[in-house]
Amino acid sequence: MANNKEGGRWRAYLFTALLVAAAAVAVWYLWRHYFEDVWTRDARVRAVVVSVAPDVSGAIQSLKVVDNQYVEEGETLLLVDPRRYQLALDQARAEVAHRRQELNLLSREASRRRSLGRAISQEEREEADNKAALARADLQAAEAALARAELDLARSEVKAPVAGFVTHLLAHTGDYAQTGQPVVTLVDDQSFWVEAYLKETQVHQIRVGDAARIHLLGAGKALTGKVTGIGRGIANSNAVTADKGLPSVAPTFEWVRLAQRIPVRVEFDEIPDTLLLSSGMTASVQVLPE
Amino acid sequence: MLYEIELGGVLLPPLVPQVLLALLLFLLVHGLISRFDGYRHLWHPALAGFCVFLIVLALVMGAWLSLGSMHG
Repeated sequence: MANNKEGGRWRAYLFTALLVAAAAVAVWYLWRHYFEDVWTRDARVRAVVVSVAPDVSGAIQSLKVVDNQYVEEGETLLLVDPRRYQLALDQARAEVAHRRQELNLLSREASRRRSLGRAISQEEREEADNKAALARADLQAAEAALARAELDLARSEVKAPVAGFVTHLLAHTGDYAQTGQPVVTLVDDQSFWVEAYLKETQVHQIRVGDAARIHLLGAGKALTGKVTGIGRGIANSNAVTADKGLPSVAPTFEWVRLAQRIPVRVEFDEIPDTLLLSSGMTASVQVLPE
Repeated sequence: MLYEIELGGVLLPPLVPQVLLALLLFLLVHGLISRFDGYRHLWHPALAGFCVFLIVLALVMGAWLSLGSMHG
């Protein structure tokens, strides 16, 4: 009876030891996938955002797009009131006509004087030649001004530099558009990529060209991608320049610190037509190092 | 793959649903072991229970990962 009880106790120890060993394997498995797999929840969808600004100032005569509309490359976005630029063009044309006529006059005079031979002085001949040369330069300047006026008039029609979606459109017909001040924001729909912020401890494991999986929040199926670049710099708060160009180094140092994150660029292999992508969306990314 | 999940507008790490599911499964297994008086054959019931929970959690994680790879 006592022997039996003793045997039961050893059996209980053995079973428990086996269970603990199995649990250790389980913890190792969990640790491997949760902490050693190169994955992050800290990733965002990004896209090329083009700020379209008119090249000439003026009131917006007509806005050809609405918010969130898709535009093709080269499509007209808006028209800046062209009247002033039309008048400038007319003026430049008149100036060219004037200069051309002047050149005509002076070059004829010069050739006449050259043919007069010794009847007039050398000085008068040279003066006529010089005047003709000056008139030729003036004509060239007027022609350049005309080309510029033509360009200004053409630029009063603002076109889409890339195909994409008009985003956050605040401008309206009648608004005054300033040269160089963005009026329309275009999100290039061919340019979406994912910026994954991976821990600095993890980036050593990855290489450009590694396969990646991208899980967009709420989008269901994961998409495949490729690492196309690893960021080669993040800001360092200790390198901020203070007085006299010297660095301002923080004297405090945290006891517990967090690994910094390095941006890694992941590009989609293929974007399904049905998938709606918006720059700024949250994603989870796993990189599969080779 | 592991990915962030969303629950009522709150974003959670994947470990949260995994732990919840593992807890449910553990309670089931725990109930079965108790029912057939299985802890009599084990040295330390609480330690054994904890080990069972960890194993169940690892199995849930394994299921999650293999389901994820099936989806591609």
